[in-house]
Amino acid sequence: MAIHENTEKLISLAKWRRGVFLALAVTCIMTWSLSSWAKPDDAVPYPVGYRQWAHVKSTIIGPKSSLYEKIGGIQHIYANEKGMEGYGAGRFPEGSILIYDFLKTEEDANSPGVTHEGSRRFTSVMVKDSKRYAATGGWGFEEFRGDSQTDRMIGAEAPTKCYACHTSQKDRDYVFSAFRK
Amino acid sequence: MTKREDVKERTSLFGRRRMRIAVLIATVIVTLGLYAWAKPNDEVPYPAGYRTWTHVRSALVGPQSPAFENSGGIHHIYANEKAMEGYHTGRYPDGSVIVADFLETRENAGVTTEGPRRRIDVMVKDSKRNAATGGWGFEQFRGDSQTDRVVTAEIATKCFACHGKQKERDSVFSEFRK
Repeated sequence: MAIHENTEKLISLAKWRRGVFLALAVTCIMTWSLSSWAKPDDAVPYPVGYRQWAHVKSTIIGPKSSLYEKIGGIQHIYANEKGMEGYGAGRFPEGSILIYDFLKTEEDANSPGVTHEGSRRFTSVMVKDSKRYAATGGWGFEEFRGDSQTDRMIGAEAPTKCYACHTSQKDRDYVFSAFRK
Repeated sequence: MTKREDVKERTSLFGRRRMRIAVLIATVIVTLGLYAWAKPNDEVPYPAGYRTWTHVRSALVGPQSPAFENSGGIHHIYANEKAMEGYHTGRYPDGSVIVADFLETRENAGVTTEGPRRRIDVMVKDSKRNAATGGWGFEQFRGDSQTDRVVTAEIATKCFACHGKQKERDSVFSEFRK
């Protein structure tokens, strides 16, 4: 009898374990699917590897400019291959990514008159996805602070902070820059 | 008899023609061979397509710099894939090409934009051809030209006199700016 009781106990323990395990699995699956459902999938991804992309052109904003305090320094524009197609054709295909890289500048301590690139202020990104970003000309806009790949400066404010101005370039598919040969 | 003579004449005519063609072919082959042999094969080729290579870094040379007259403006450095390996490892494989692009600048209300091209400076790694200059061939192309070359043997020696000081960095001054 004692053995029988023991066996029963063991069986009930096994059942209990199976129940806990199942509950855990269900919770995991629900959490995972909820998180992917709630995730804002219109977030512009960080443009990994853009420093190897083609260099479109550069500009410098000096102390005499009213923009100096906020964005003074040197700016480089980069484009992925699809973005480069767009510069050639005037229409940017889906998947085009354009980068506006804002760097500070530093005077060379040993060579007067020579200026070098300094730290990164932020990286502006435009991604072409006509379905996701139908409300803003087919372009998603974002800015990443400093060297961060997660510290976003635009988020849901793209319509006012970016698109409001880019819309003036409608005839050029909302892009201001041109490839400098 | 007349028939036979006619055939003979024709044959000799055919033979002479064949001879002429052979001489012509030989002349062409010898000329081509001589040309290829005499051509300075240490010439640095124009770096076609460099504008879409990786952008290594940039610098500005302003009016206060003694280099302003010759090189004032904005400089961009570009590297092909092999040279990018070199920037990471410190040793540049044969076939590495580095281009320094010298552009004039225009300023308006504190905003400076790129102007016309002054020249491009090119470094090509070919250890056999350029054994005397650290494995690097040096060239400059004036303006937007792909043929207007600036560097002479004497200038190349000067290029290396300075670049050669960067021994630990395989004669390259620049570093990839992340």
